[in-house]
Parts: sequence; structure tokens; C-alpha cells
Amino acid sequence: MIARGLRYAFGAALVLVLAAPMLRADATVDRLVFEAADLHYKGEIDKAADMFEKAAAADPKNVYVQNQLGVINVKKKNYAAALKNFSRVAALDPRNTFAMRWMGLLLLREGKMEEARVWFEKALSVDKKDADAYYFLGTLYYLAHNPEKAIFYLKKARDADSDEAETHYRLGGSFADVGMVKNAQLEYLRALAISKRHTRTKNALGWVLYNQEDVEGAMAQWRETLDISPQDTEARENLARANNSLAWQAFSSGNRIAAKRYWQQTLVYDPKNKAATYYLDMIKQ
Amino acid sequence: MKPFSEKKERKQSAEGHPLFGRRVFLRAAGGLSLLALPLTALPFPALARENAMDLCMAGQDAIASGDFAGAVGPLAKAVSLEPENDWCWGLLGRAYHGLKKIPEAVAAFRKAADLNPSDTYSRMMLEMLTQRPVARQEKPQKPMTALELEAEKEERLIAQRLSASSGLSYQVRRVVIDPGHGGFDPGAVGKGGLKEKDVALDIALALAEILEAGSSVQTRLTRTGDYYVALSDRTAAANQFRADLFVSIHINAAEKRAARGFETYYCSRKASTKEAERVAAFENTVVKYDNPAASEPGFQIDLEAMLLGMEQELYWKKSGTFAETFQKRSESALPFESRGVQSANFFVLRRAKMPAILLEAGFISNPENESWLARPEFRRKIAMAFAKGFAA
Repeated sequence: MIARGLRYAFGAALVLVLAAPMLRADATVDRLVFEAADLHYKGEIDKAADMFEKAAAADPKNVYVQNQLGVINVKKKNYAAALKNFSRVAALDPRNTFAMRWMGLLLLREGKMEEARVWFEKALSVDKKDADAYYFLGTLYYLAHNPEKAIFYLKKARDADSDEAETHYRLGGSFADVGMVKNAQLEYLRALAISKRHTRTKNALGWVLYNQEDVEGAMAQWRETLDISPQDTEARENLARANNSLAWQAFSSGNRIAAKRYWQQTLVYDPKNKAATYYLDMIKQ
Repeated sequence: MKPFSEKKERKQSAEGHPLFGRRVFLRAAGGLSLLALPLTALPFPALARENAMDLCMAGQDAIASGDFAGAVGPLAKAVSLEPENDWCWGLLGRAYHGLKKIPEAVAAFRKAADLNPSDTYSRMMLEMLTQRPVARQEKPQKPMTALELEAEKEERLIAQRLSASSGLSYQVRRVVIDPGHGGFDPGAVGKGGLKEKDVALDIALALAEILEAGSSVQTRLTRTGDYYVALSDRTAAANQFRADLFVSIHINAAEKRAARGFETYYCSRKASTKEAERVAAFENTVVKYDNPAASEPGFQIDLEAMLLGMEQELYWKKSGTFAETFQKRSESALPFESRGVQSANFFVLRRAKMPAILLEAGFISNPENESWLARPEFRRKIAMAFAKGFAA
């Protein structure tokens, strides 16, 4: 309690002393920025925006303020306004990679993939180890179903900073796309080591295992997905498909008891599965 | 003030905050290990037995008097004694910042904000400092696991024969072809007894054969014989195969026997606004499970949800482009009347995680169309016309 009290007591004074090199030697702007940042954190984005606007009026070249306004505009889905904020920063500060990545993302959102790529590459020209710029470039190619280029950039993102599950997830997918199943498996496991509830990774890892004939391992992944997210349609469909396939194998080899059990399981995951319903009726008859 | 409990504030990691982590790209300096500083190296033996609070007070006094170098020593010791003390970390960040040691300042501010996300000053400084590139520390190498060794071997074998094209145009290499119906479900049946399931399978088999022979496109069929495959199974097959395009083949039927011709369907946002909303809602749920912090409304920019939305939008748009191309190519190659491109809410299309189209190759209920469709050479002609659609 004492420490907390002291911190707040000294906090305001320290802002004025230390923030000066970053902002301007203008106490009013400093105070506005600090209070706006606090409101922003607390989720009061309209009030934060008002205060940042006041700071921007007093200090139009403050790139931090423009970036914060951009982020708030994204949250409010005012994408055109956000694009203006980030574009202003990019014009004012040629090393502001934060604004550059946002420019790329907002253009990607508009489907302008080539223009988005230019901004991510600009960020990389400033910082060759920008993990996020690599990630977004990799994602661009991932969306274009160009796995070789996706692997190229996502590996760089991974090597620059491997603390994001999404990087490993998309890299795993790209490896799977070119048939590098061990690498796919490894990256999916890395994603799950970071975020064990990453259900998209679990669903995708399931197929990588299944395609290597580890059916039980695959089904375990999908069942775990349903433990996390019981409504996950993809995991349900995957489990239904796997059980249906097992039922077919059993039925074809004359093992009707096992076939019945697997088709019943199919219906657990996909109650409207016409194939399972039909063949179960047939077995009964 | 938002009524956040202290517990909740502390529980919420910096990653969960809208301005941290990839969500707004503020990661920069990766984990500088300030704790690794040997205590004996610190130049203030008189404070050695003091507690973190006293050390922080000393550091704070030094900062207030502008002696940043003098502040670093006691503050570094304080955080080594009490690594969970966010206040000490914040002060250490200030001291480093005063010395213009930006990577160290970033690491200390990050630690302070991780420990106490409501520390506005540390958070704000972190945001400001990481707008521009910050130097990072190399991570130590760990011994490789068995799977990592296998992966490395695989990469040596496969990666070198991969050749990348630099374009961002959508690439189709794997296609899942889905002959509609099958088994106990004949689909539509013509007056002459021709069954949709048989025609669809025949066209699908021919299409797969043509594509495999004439290009680098790999194909997979959802069924290769006369058996029924559930709808959910068909889209799951496309996901299993990681298809770039899903093509479902059907034959149309209508009560009016005069109806004839072929048409191509795709699933679009316009066709199914409710479905688009459902998909978006589901994807947001997925992100919520993937990253529990994303469920904080108003605080978080769900960047991955944004990307997933873009992905869905892109696939729907591409589906429309593919549908137009298939229809156009078929118009010139087939005697069928063109009924154009339609968008609709078919299960197999909306559940696919890639561009997906559904081809209705004529009307089995139309006597003339049925007689054409009954001829194997005509079915092959249809398959060849469809194959040209992939040349787009």
C-alpha cells in the first residue's frame, strides 16, 4: 500500500520530467496525453479521443498522439479516419514502424493486397527484425495460398520473435500446404505451447496427425477442442468424418458391431449425418 | 473510472491490453534479463542489506535529482530482491530512459506494465518507445528435440525443391471435387431414369483425370463410387486436404420441363447476410477461445478476428471470380444455354474454408438436356469445359 501511494504521488511529477524528451516541454500537452492514455486503457475511448484531439490541436506533430487516435479510430471502426492518422504519422516520422504496419493492415482490410505489401516492406526497410511486419507479409501470402512465400516470411517472423501462437499456426499451415508434415506438426505444437486453447491450431494439427495415420492422436486433438469450445463446428465435422471413416472400414471388413459403434459416435458429433443414420438403420434391419 | 478490481487488473496480462503484443505491434525488445546482473557488481554495498522499498526510494530520489546513472544500481537490486514489484520496474525504466538506454528501458517498462497493466505511465512510455525499432537481444539456443531434428531433415529434403512465385494472385494447386449425392441418395432423376448422382460422379472423375494429366493441380474427390457422403463430411474432406478450391458438381432439376441450361453458384456475403454475421460471430468466438483476453470489450483490437474476417471476405470474393470464369469458359464450350452466375447459401459452400463453387451442369428434368447428359462423351465434354475454368 505504501509503495502504491508513493508511486502515484511521484507519478505526475515524473511525467513532466521524463516525458519531456518524448513529447514537448509543454506541461499541458503532457498532462492531456497522460490522461488520455489512462482513459484509453480504461476503455473510455470517446473521452480518450477527445483528450487526444485536444493534445493534437496543441501539438500537431506529436506522432504518439496521432497513433493513439488511429488505434481508437480502428476500435470505433472509423477506418478511413484511422488511415489518415497513421498516414500523417508516416509522413512526419519515417522510422515509425507502428504506423507503417497499421497502414498495411488497413489497406489489406480494403482488399488492397499490393498496397498493403508495400507498407509492410517499408516497415522492414526501417527495421529488418520487425517480427510483426514479417508476420503480416507472411499472412498476405498465406491468404493468397502461396505457401512458399508465406513460409519465407513467417519463418523470419518466427526467428525474429517466436512468442506469438498465430505465427506458428500460420507457418504450420503453410508447411502442411507444401507437404512438410513434420515441420507443420512442430509449428502447431509450438503454437499450442504458447496458447494451449488455440482451437484453430488443434483442428489443423488433428489433420496433420490423421494424414500420418495417427487417427487416435488426431481425434484427441479435436475432442480437446470441443472441451474448450463445445460449439466448434469444425472439430465436430472432423470427428464425424473420422468416425464415419472408421465405421466404413469396420463395415467393409464385416465387423458390424464396431461399425455400429463408430456410426453412433458419428451421430454424437453430427446428429444430422444422413450417412450414419442410413447405415445404422441398415445394420438394424 | 472503470470498476476494475485489483485482482482483475493484475490478472490481465499486457498481451491482453489493446496496446500490447501483436494486437498493436508493440513487442520490441524481447525479455532483457535484468535479473541476471550480479548483485556483487552493484556499486552501493551500504544498501546491500536493505529492502526493495528502501532501494526504490533511493532510486527515485536519484531520478528526481537527475542522477539516472546513480538510480540504476539501487533499482536493479530492488527488482532482483522483489521481481514482482511493478513500481520498482517502472522506476528502473525511467532511469534507463534518462540514460537513453532504450532497449533496457523498454524491457523494464514492459515488465512494469505486465505486472500492473493499470500503470499508465509505464504503459504509455512503452507505447512511445516502441513506435520505432528497438534493438533486441538474441535468444539462447536450446538443444533440438527429436521432432525438431526430423523437421530439419524434412526441410533439407523438401524445401530446396520448392520454388516460390512472388505474386499475390490467388494460387490453385489442390482442388477438392465433390460429386453431389450418391448411394441411397440419387439426387434428381430424369424422365428417362438418368440419376444425378451417376452423372455428377462421371463428370467429377473425368475432371480429376483431366486436371491431374494436364497441369500441376492435385485433385481429391469426396467420393469415388456410388455411396453417400454426408454434407459435413464433404467440407471436412476439403479442410483435410487443405484445398485451394472446392468444386461441387450437380445436375439441376425443375418442375417445369422447359427449364434448361447450366449455371454456377457461389456463396457470398450478399447472398447470406445472416450467414455472414454467423460466420463473423463464430470466428470471434474462436478468437476468444484462442486468446481469452480478447473477450474484454472495448479494450482489445481483435487483430486475428480482423484477419479472419478478411480471409472469409477474400474467399467469398474469389468464389465469385471463379464462378464467373467457370461460367464464361463453359458458355463457349458447351451447347447448354447459360443461366449465369448465382449466389446462394448452400451448406457445402458456406462451410468450406476456401473459395467454393457449385456447378449445375444442365437440367436432368429437361428431356433434351437429359439425353445429352446420358451420353458419356458429352459428360467428358462438360469435364473438359470445366477444366478450362482452372486456367484462370
